[in-house]
Amino acid sequence: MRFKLFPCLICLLLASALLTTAQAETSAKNWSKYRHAVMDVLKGHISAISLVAFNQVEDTGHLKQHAAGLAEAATEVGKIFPAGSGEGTHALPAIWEQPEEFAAAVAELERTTQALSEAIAGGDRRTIASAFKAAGDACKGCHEKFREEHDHD
Amino acid sequence: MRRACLPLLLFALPAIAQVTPIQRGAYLVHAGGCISCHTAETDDAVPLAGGRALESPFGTFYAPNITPDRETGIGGWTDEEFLTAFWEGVGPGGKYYYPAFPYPSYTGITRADLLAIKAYLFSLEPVRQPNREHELPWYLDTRLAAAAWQLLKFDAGRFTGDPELDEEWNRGAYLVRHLGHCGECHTPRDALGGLIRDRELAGAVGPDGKRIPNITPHPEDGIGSWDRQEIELFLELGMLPDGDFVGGAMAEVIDDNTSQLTPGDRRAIARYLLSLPALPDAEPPAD
Ligand code: HEC
Ligand code: HEC
Ligand code: HEC
Repeated sequence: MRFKLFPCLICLLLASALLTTAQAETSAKNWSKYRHAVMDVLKGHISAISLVAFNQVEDTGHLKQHAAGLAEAATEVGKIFPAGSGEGTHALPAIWEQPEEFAAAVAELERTTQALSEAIAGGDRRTIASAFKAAGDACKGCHEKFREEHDHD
Repeated sequence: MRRACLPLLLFALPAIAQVTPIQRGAYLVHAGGCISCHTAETDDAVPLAGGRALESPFGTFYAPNITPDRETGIGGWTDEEFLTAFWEGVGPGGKYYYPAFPYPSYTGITRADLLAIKAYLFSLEPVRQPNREHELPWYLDTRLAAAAWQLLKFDAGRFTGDPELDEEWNRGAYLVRHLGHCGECHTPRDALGGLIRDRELAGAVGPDGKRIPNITPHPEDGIGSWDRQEIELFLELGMLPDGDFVGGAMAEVIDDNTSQLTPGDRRAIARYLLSLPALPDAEPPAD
């Protein structure tokens, strides 16, 4: 019994070691893909908000949902940058080298998107305009320090 | 008409009361983007007291202290010395400047604007902070190299504008080409670091080897698919037409410069950009 179990255990260990290396290789790429998916959610909501709030289209009655969705999605941003997931992506090493500053940038996004959601619920145009700018500054501020520059077309 | 009641004006500075030369100078220091280069990157850095490291393919430059301290800043400069630094790229005592100071763009700034900038700088609290030496290879580490560069690559001259075109276009041209020096990043350079003028704003490669985008109105390679309002919104907030937000060096340009301008000045910049010839990206060099 013992004789049979031992080689099996070794096989299992070997197999799992191989799997982990293979996973580490694809993991940065997959994390980046996932990050882009989350970021694109932020982008979609904030773009929708700007089009309605700045009167480029008529309000279809969903402004509040977009604002709530933006604030909700913002709470995920702090969880999508695990250590070792930056290689070959636009995420800069500073994310992991300056974890406190990065956490502050995430907190700023959560705070400002929550404030924007409240401003939109309140309905005062002046407050909405300045809350929108603050949320945009949170996106821009993090991209300035933690995202690699690139051509967007 | 559906865009009639844009509340964006709310973001603007309280209507630029361009009353005193000092206030006008403060505005122009933003439009000239002086703060980002002349302020160190530490959190407690005093604005305009210098110390920021500027990487270039030729070495590292340290921007000097431009507060009015008499010993370590520019407190002893006359008006003429100040004008000559920007117009000719030469400082007091015949010190030739390296083009890391973007005087090849600033040479076009008017006398009135430069003197307003000087008045503002001289109204600041003097800060005692000695300048750091640039770190350059031996063959560039002499002001003669800067003098030789000027001989080859520098054309001094004020902005003359195009009398055929209206005031708004001319204002946009002045802001983009001279004060705002957008071409220092967005226009490609030749091997000696001179701007290739007939490829104005057609995209370049930054000091770190990364591509800086083409911002001519080319439909695919540039910003030809953006409308004027999208450009204005970008200059104000940093938001790209798809809702992404810009990062890197451009985020700083927006924070220190274009978001601080009047809506009229942003409109003029957008107008000028869209009037440029639509140039495609350069073919990547074969290697
Ligand atoms: C805390 C930092 C941080 C904040 C805040 C942040 N981002 Fe990002 N964003 C990043 C990083 C880092 C990347 C690059 C990720 C990668 O390449 O793996 C990125 C990438 C993106 C992308 C590119 C996605 C793609 O498909 O190419 C978009 C769009 C984007 N962000 C939009 C936003 C918007 C809109 C906001 C504000 C509502 C925002 N981001 C706030 C860090 C941030
Ligand atoms: C210090 C260098 C620098 C200066 C000066 C500068 N830019 Fe930029 N600009 C950049 C970089 C880098 C990007 C790409 C940013 C990114 O990664 O998101 C950019 C992006 C842009 C874009 C977006 C283009 C696109 O396709 O995504 C526009 C428009 C733009 N800049 C306009 C201007 C204007 C107008 C000025 C002058 C007022 C200016 N820039 C000055 C470096 C600069
Ligand atoms: C792209 C970065 C950059 C920008 C933008 C910039 N400067 Fe400078 N500036 C420099 C550097 C680098 C030097 C030093 C050049 C040298 O030593 O040859 C310099 C030199 C100077 C000097 C000469 C100081 C001395 O002690 O000799 C003055 C004055 C000055 N800048 C003022 C300004 C003002 C005002 C603005 C805005 C209108 C401005 N600069 C914008 C980088 C910059």
